[in-house]
Amino acid sequence: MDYSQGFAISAIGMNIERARVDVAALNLANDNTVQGVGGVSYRPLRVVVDPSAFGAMVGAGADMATQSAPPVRIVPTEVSPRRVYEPAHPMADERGFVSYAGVDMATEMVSLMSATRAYEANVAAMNTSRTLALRALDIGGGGA
Amino acid sequence: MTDFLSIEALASLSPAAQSMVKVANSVGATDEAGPRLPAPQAVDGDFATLVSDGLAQVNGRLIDSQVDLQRLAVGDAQNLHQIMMSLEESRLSFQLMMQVRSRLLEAYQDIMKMPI
Repeated sequence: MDYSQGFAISAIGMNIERARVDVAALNLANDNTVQGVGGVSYRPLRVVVDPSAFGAMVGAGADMATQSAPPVRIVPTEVSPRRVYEPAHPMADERGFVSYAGVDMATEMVSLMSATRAYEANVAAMNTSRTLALRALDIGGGGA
Repeated sequence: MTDFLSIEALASLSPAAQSMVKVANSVGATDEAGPRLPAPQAVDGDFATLVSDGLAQVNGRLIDSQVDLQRLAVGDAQNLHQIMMSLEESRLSFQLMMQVRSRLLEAYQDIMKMPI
Protein backbone atom coordinates (compact mmCIF):
# COMPACT_ATOMS: atom_id res chain seq x y z
CA MET A 1 0.00 0.00 0.00
CA ASP A 2 1.09 3.54 -0.64
CA TYR A 3 1.45 4.62 2.98
CA SER A 4 4.28 2.13 3.32
CA GLN A 5 6.35 4.45 1.10
CA GLY A 6 6.10 7.13 3.78
CA PHE A 7 7.13 4.50 6.31
CA ALA A 8 10.10 3.54 4.14
CA ILE A 9 11.32 7.14 3.86
CA SER A 10 11.18 7.60 7.62
CA ALA A 11 12.81 4.21 8.15
CA ILE A 12 15.81 5.19 6.04
CA GLY A 13 16.07 8.47 7.93
CA MET A 14 16.07 6.59 11.23
CA ASN A 15 18.72 4.21 9.91
CA ILE A 16 20.93 7.15 9.00
CA GLU A 17 20.56 8.76 12.42
CA ARG A 18 21.31 5.44 14.08
CA ALA A 19 24.52 5.27 12.07
CA ARG A 20 25.43 8.81 13.13
CA VAL A 21 24.91 7.96 16.79
CA ASP A 22 26.98 4.79 16.42
CA VAL A 23 29.83 6.66 14.76
CA ALA A 24 29.77 9.42 17.39
CA ALA A 25 29.88 6.77 20.12
CA LEU A 26 32.81 5.10 18.39
CA ASN A 27 34.65 8.42 18.22
CA LEU A 28 34.00 9.09 21.89
CA ALA A 29 35.13 5.59 22.82
CA ASN A 30 38.41 6.17 21.00
CA ASP A 31 39.00 9.53 22.65
CA ASN A 32 41.92 8.19 24.67
CA THR A 33 43.28 5.78 22.09
CA VAL A 34 47.02 6.16 21.80
CA GLN A 35 48.09 6.74 18.23
CA GLY A 36 50.68 4.75 16.39
CA VAL A 37 50.48 1.53 18.39
CA GLY A 38 51.39 -1.19 15.92
CA GLY A 39 51.38 1.41 13.15
CA VAL A 40 47.63 1.96 13.52
CA SER A 41 46.15 5.38 14.17
CA TYR A 42 42.52 6.17 14.89
CA ARG A 43 41.13 9.11 13.02
CA PRO A 44 37.68 10.47 13.97
CA LEU A 45 35.00 9.26 11.58
CA ARG A 46 32.19 11.20 9.95
CA VAL A 47 28.99 9.93 8.36
CA VAL A 48 28.42 11.10 4.80
CA VAL A 49 24.92 10.39 3.52
CA ASP A 50 24.84 9.07 -0.02
CA PRO A 51 21.65 10.31 -1.69
CA SER A 52 21.87 8.15 -4.81
CA ALA A 53 20.62 4.94 -3.21
CA PHE A 54 17.70 6.64 -1.46
CA GLY A 55 15.11 6.38 -4.21
CA ALA A 56 15.74 2.71 -4.87
CA MET A 57 15.45 1.91 -1.16
CA VAL A 58 12.17 3.81 -0.86
CA GLY A 59 10.85 1.95 -3.90
CA ALA A 60 11.74 -1.36 -2.30
CA GLY A 61 9.32 -0.70 0.57
CA ALA A 62 9.59 -0.29 4.31
CA ASP A 63 10.70 -3.84 5.10
CA MET A 64 13.64 -3.69 2.72
CA ALA A 65 14.47 -0.14 3.78
CA THR A 66 14.81 -1.11 7.41
CA GLN A 67 16.71 -4.31 6.78
CA SER A 68 19.28 -3.04 4.31
CA ALA A 69 22.27 -0.96 5.30
CA PRO A 70 21.71 2.79 5.49
CA PRO A 71 22.87 4.76 2.42
CA VAL A 72 25.84 6.27 4.19
CA ARG A 73 29.59 6.28 3.80
CA ILE A 74 31.77 6.51 6.89
CA VAL A 75 34.90 8.50 6.12
CA PRO A 76 37.85 9.33 8.38
CA THR A 77 38.58 13.02 8.93
CA GLU A 78 41.91 14.74 8.49
CA VAL A 79 42.44 15.78 12.08
CA SER A 80 45.88 16.00 13.59
CA PRO A 81 46.26 13.94 16.78
CA ARG A 82 46.04 15.52 20.19
CA ARG A 83 49.54 15.60 21.75
CA VAL A 84 49.85 15.41 25.52
CA TYR A 85 53.07 15.76 27.50
CA GLU A 86 53.35 12.55 29.56
CA PRO A 87 57.02 11.62 29.91
CA ALA A 88 56.27 8.62 32.12
CA HIS A 89 53.87 7.09 29.59
CA PRO A 90 55.24 3.91 27.97
CA MET A 91 54.17 5.16 24.53
CA ALA A 92 55.75 8.60 24.88
CA ASP A 93 58.10 9.70 22.11
CA GLU A 94 61.65 10.96 22.69
CA ARG A 95 60.38 14.42 23.68
CA GLY A 96 57.87 12.99 26.16
CA PHE A 97 54.69 13.52 24.12
CA VAL A 98 51.93 10.96 23.69
CA SER A 99 49.57 11.23 20.69
CA TYR A 100 45.90 10.60 21.27
CA ALA A 101 43.11 10.53 18.68
CA GLY A 102 42.01 14.04 17.76
CA VAL A 103 38.41 13.57 18.85
CA ASP A 104 36.65 16.85 19.53
CA MET A 105 34.33 16.25 22.46
CA ALA A 106 32.06 19.22 21.69
CA THR A 107 31.62 18.16 18.06
CA GLU A 108 30.68 14.64 19.05
CA MET A 109 28.18 15.79 21.67
CA VAL A 110 26.55 18.18 19.21
CA SER A 111 26.32 15.48 16.58
CA LEU A 112 24.76 13.15 19.17
CA MET A 113 22.16 15.80 20.02
CA SER A 114 21.36 16.60 16.42
CA ALA A 115 21.07 12.90 15.58
CA THR A 116 18.62 12.48 18.45
CA ARG A 117 16.52 15.40 17.25
CA ALA A 118 16.57 14.19 13.66
CA TYR A 119 15.52 10.71 14.78
CA GLU A 120 12.63 12.30 16.67
CA ALA A 121 11.67 14.22 13.56
CA ASN A 122 11.63 11.01 11.54
CA VAL A 123 9.42 9.37 14.15
CA ALA A 124 7.09 12.38 14.00
CA ALA A 125 6.90 12.14 10.21
CA MET A 126 6.18 8.42 10.41
CA ASN A 127 3.48 8.98 13.02
CA THR A 128 1.90 11.60 10.81
CA SER A 129 1.69 9.28 7.82
CA ARG A 130 0.30 6.57 10.11
CA THR A 131 -2.29 9.02 11.41
CA LEU A 132 -3.26 9.87 7.85
CA ALA A 133 -3.85 6.20 7.08
CA LEU A 134 -5.89 5.71 10.26
CA ARG A 135 -7.93 8.85 9.57
CA ALA A 136 -8.64 7.57 6.08
CA LEU A 137 -10.12 4.47 7.68
CA ASP A 138 -12.48 6.76 9.61
CA ILE A 139 -14.19 7.85 6.39
CA GLY A 140 -17.83 6.94 6.63
CA GLY A 141 -17.34 5.54 10.11
CA GLY A 142 -20.43 5.18 12.21
CA GLY A 143 -21.40 7.86 14.72
CA ALA A 144 -19.04 10.56 13.46
CA MET B 1 -12.33 -12.73 15.75
CA THR B 2 -14.93 -15.29 16.82
CA ASP B 3 -17.77 -13.07 15.71
CA PHE B 4 -16.40 -12.75 12.22
CA LEU B 5 -18.89 -13.36 9.45
CA SER B 6 -18.29 -16.74 7.89
CA ILE B 7 -17.06 -17.02 4.32
CA GLU B 8 -20.23 -18.85 3.34
CA ALA B 9 -22.40 -16.01 4.57
CA LEU B 10 -20.25 -13.52 2.71
CA ALA B 11 -20.40 -15.64 -0.42
CA SER B 12 -24.16 -15.45 -0.37
CA LEU B 13 -23.77 -11.73 -0.97
CA SER B 14 -21.51 -12.45 -3.89
CA PRO B 15 -23.75 -11.75 -6.94
CA ALA B 16 -24.96 -8.42 -5.63
CA ALA B 17 -21.45 -7.37 -4.58
CA GLN B 18 -19.93 -8.38 -7.88
CA SER B 19 -22.43 -6.37 -9.85
CA MET B 20 -21.73 -3.41 -7.56
CA VAL B 21 -18.00 -3.77 -8.12
CA LYS B 22 -18.57 -3.91 -11.88
CA VAL B 23 -20.70 -0.75 -11.78
CA ALA B 24 -18.11 1.00 -9.61
CA ASN B 25 -15.32 0.05 -12.00
CA SER B 26 -17.20 1.18 -15.10
CA VAL B 27 -17.92 4.51 -13.42
CA GLY B 28 -14.40 4.84 -12.10
CA ALA B 29 -12.80 4.08 -15.47
CA THR B 30 -14.08 7.32 -16.94
CA ASP B 31 -12.67 9.74 -14.40
CA GLU B 32 -9.07 10.83 -14.00
CA ALA B 33 -6.26 8.30 -13.92
CA GLY B 34 -4.90 7.72 -10.45
CA PRO B 35 -3.25 4.99 -8.44
CA ARG B 36 -6.04 2.46 -8.29
CA LEU B 37 -6.32 -1.29 -8.29
CA PRO B 38 -6.26 -2.78 -11.77
CA ALA B 39 -9.80 -3.67 -12.74
CA PRO B 40 -9.18 -7.35 -13.64
CA GLN B 41 -7.82 -7.98 -10.18
CA ALA B 42 -10.90 -6.50 -8.57
CA VAL B 43 -13.46 -8.59 -10.47
CA ASP B 44 -11.34 -11.70 -10.91
CA GLY B 45 -12.76 -14.78 -9.23
CA ASP B 46 -15.79 -14.78 -7.00
CA PHE B 47 -16.33 -12.73 -3.91
CA ALA B 48 -15.40 -15.45 -1.43
CA THR B 49 -11.89 -15.83 -2.86
CA LEU B 50 -11.54 -12.03 -2.78
CA VAL B 51 -12.35 -11.94 0.90
CA SER B 52 -10.26 -14.94 1.81
CA ASP B 53 -7.28 -13.54 -0.13
CA GLY B 54 -7.54 -10.29 1.80
CA LEU B 55 -7.82 -12.21 5.05
CA ALA B 56 -4.76 -14.26 4.15
CA GLN B 57 -2.78 -11.09 3.47
CA VAL B 58 -3.73 -9.57 6.80
CA ASN B 59 -2.95 -12.83 8.53
CA GLY B 60 0.44 -12.96 6.83
CA ARG B 61 1.26 -9.48 8.11
CA LEU B 62 0.20 -10.42 11.63
CA ILE B 63 2.40 -13.51 11.48
CA ASP B 64 5.29 -11.38 10.21
CA SER B 65 4.99 -9.01 13.15
CA GLN B 66 4.77 -12.00 15.48
CA VAL B 67 8.02 -13.33 14.06
CA ASP B 68 9.60 -9.88 14.48
CA LEU B 69 8.50 -9.80 18.12
CA GLN B 70 10.03 -13.21 18.72
CA ARG B 71 13.28 -12.06 17.14
CA LEU B 72 13.23 -9.03 19.45
CA ALA B 73 12.66 -11.29 22.43
CA VAL B 74 15.63 -13.47 21.64
CA GLY B 75 17.82 -10.42 20.96
CA ASP B 76 18.15 -11.09 17.25
CA ALA B 77 16.71 -7.77 16.14
CA GLN B 78 18.78 -5.45 14.00
CA ASN B 79 17.06 -2.32 15.15
CA LEU B 80 14.01 -1.38 17.12
CA HIS B 81 12.32 0.91 14.62
CA GLN B 82 12.16 -1.91 12.09
CA ILE B 83 10.02 -3.95 14.47
CA MET B 84 7.86 -1.01 15.49
CA MET B 85 7.18 -0.19 11.84
CA SER B 86 6.25 -3.73 11.00
CA LEU B 87 3.91 -3.73 14.00
CA GLU B 88 2.33 -0.50 12.81
CA GLU B 89 1.90 -1.86 9.30
CA SER B 90 0.18 -4.98 10.52
CA ARG B 91 -2.01 -2.87 12.79
CA LEU B 92 -3.04 -0.69 9.87
CA SER B 93 -3.93 -3.64 7.68
CA PHE B 94 -5.88 -5.19 10.54
CA GLN B 95 -7.80 -1.93 11.00
CA LEU B 96 -8.51 -1.84 7.28
CA MET B 97 -9.77 -5.41 7.44
CA MET B 98 -12.03 -4.56 10.37
CA GLN B 99 -13.47 -1.57 8.51
CA VAL B 100 -14.19 -3.71 5.48
CA ARG B 101 -15.79 -6.28 7.75
CA SER B 102 -18.05 -3.76 9.45
CA ARG B 103 -19.16 -2.33 6.09
CA LEU B 104 -19.97 -5.81 4.82
CA LEU B 105 -21.83 -6.70 7.98
CA GLU B 106 -23.80 -3.48 7.77
CA ALA B 107 -24.81 -4.19 4.19
CA TYR B 108 -25.68 -7.79 5.05
CA GLN B 109 -27.89 -6.71 7.95
CA ASP B 110 -29.55 -4.05 5.85
CA ILE B 111 -30.47 -6.67 3.30
CA MET B 112 -31.64 -9.13 5.97
CA LYS B 113 -33.88 -6.47 7.52
CA MET B 114 -35.46 -5.66 4.19
CA PRO B 115 -39.24 -6.20 4.36
CA ILE B 116 -40.53 -8.56 1.71
